Amino acid sequence: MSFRSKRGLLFLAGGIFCFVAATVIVSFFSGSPEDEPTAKAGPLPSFTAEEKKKLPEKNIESEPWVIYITGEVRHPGIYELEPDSRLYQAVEKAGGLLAEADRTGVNLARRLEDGCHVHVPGRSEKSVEIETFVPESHQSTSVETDSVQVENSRSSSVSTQNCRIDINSAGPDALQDLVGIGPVTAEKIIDYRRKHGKFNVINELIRIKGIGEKKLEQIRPFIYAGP
Amino acid sequence: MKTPLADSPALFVFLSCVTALFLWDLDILPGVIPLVSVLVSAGSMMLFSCKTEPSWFRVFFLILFLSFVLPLGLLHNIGKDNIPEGFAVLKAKVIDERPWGSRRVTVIEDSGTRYLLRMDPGQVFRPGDILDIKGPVMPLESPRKGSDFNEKRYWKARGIDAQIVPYEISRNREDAKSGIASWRSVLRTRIDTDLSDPLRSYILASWLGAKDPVLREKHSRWGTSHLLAVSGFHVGLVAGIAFLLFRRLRYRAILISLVIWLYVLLTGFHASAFRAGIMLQMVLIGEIFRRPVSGINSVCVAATLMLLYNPWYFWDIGWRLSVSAVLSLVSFSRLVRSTRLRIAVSPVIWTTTYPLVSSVFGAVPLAGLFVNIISVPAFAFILPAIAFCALVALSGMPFSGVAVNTANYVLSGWEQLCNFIALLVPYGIEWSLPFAVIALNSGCLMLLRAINVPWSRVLIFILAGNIIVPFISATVVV
Repeated sequence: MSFRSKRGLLFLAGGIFCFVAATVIVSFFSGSPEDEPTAKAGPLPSFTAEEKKKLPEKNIESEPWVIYITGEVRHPGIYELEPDSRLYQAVEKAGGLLAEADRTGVNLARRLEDGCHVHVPGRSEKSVEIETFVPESHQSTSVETDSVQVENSRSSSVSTQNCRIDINSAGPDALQDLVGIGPVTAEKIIDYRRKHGKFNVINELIRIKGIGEKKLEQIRPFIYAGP
Repeated sequence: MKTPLADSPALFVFLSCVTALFLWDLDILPGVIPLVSVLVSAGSMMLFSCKTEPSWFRVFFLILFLSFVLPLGLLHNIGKDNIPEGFAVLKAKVIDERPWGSRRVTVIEDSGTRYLLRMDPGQVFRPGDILDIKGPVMPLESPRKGSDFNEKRYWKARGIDAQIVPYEISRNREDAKSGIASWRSVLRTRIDTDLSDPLRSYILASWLGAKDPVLREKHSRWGTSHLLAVSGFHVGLVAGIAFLLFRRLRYRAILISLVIWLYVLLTGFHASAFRAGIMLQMVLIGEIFRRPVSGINSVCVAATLMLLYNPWYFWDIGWRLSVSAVLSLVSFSRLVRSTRLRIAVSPVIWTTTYPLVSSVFGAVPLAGLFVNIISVPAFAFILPAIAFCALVALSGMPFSGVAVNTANYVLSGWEQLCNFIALLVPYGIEWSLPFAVIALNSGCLMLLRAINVPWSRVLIFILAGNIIVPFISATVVV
């Protein structure tokens, strides 16, 4: 065998070796490290067939959220959205804002919650909005099972959406949607819930360091203490 | 006859970059990706070479080095997320504006960062406008469940970093318009007002890359969408015209380069125009230094540079189609020297791009096979002719009306011919795995034979590819 043909064969063998090595490495390092537990914390929970039936079959996290949107949008109605959607995504699903919509009166960036009802107010509708969607009794059970948020970044006047935040179930992100609640205070609210259980009334929030009477009054219309 | 290593060294570097991005997409541990990329590059070089040329090992090790370093750079670029989160108060320039579903989107730029704005259909800003915007900056949207379209990657490939949900938006009337976006806007307004359809739509598409929805639908039915999108074909035509004008001048290469990049700039740096610009630039540099340039090598250099500039191009259908079509074209031209047989170039490109087109757009119109045979050579004359007519009309020269009417007459006649062919062959071929595998293997075979890989090695490579790629996909996806 000549030197040239030997070199050709060597190249062929080298080439095949490289591809095989690449394949082995890829299949060895594929998947994320969290695929399997690295240590066992105890015996695996066992279920009987009956118990298995009782377990929720659906993965709640991955289910779409259902949002009801009304007001100054092109196509008001009920829409399905991805979990963790924001208001602008709901508005987009509803065909966008109408020219009459109060663009500065809605916080398009706010986080939504599953099952909430969002009303986009018109320019002339601001005051009516507050009357309609923020009941005097902040703990009545009509619309307020929904989460809520209110904000107007430009002026002190309040524009409203009837999504109110349940202080007993809201996560840090939702709590931070409230005016004057930052990450530290949100964390304190969650800590309080962990230690003392759920809030029975909104006024209990006063026990949280960082929430004074003034701030409580500010956020009161936009929260409720859920069951 | 040159060895693959001497003929197209950039092919192996390009292969390593593509491997790196493919593996990144599959969520492989980033630390091993450059290593695998080097192995793929080294494996291809050795598998494709039966013989060597003097001092081959220098090129070999240089390619190995680049096959390690460039994927590292790609991973670094793609990993960094430079979203300046928070509440933005900006004075930004509109770069692009287009319809998006039932709404419109506007792309704005502020200090080198590009943002996306979703607008109501009635809110239209023109490129070059300066906007005052207030609103929170949000990350681009990830793909929605049940949808194959990845919006985040689509916009990332267009250099957009984040989106803004505007609370307040207004046009800043004090600022004078300047820059290329403004020139594009002015030109667009002139085209819209001075030209009539279909000339207006064709000129908007070929000069500014703005596709009219009606014309786009027609071309997609005829299977000739590539003639509408600014592509290498258009850049090649511009370069050809520039060559005819400057061929007797001493510094023609520099002047042609200038014309090419002005055109690329005018189109708004479309992916395919950018790729073609780099490719032709390489050919022109080759002419300046009196060095022969390999077409396949040029395509690979251009494609690699584009990935280094913006790694998200890898998921852009335009970039993929552009690279695969041009690689097929160059490979076919190398293999088939007979002028008569070159009529088969359109069917060949149609076949090699079939897997991509059918997987994204659903079906590939069969009419495209026939329409393209005549449309590509015909458009090489029609496009310059209608561009001349448009120039006459836009500059307000005498006989502007005659020029516009003539162009419209030619284009209408052309459209009727295409409609007739599409009526004769009203079928489309849907995505099919066997067809796609055959098309991919044919493309590989053509490319490898074009760079002088021996038949035995071509068959080994294709066989190995048909085993390894499904194996990796199955292993990783499961």
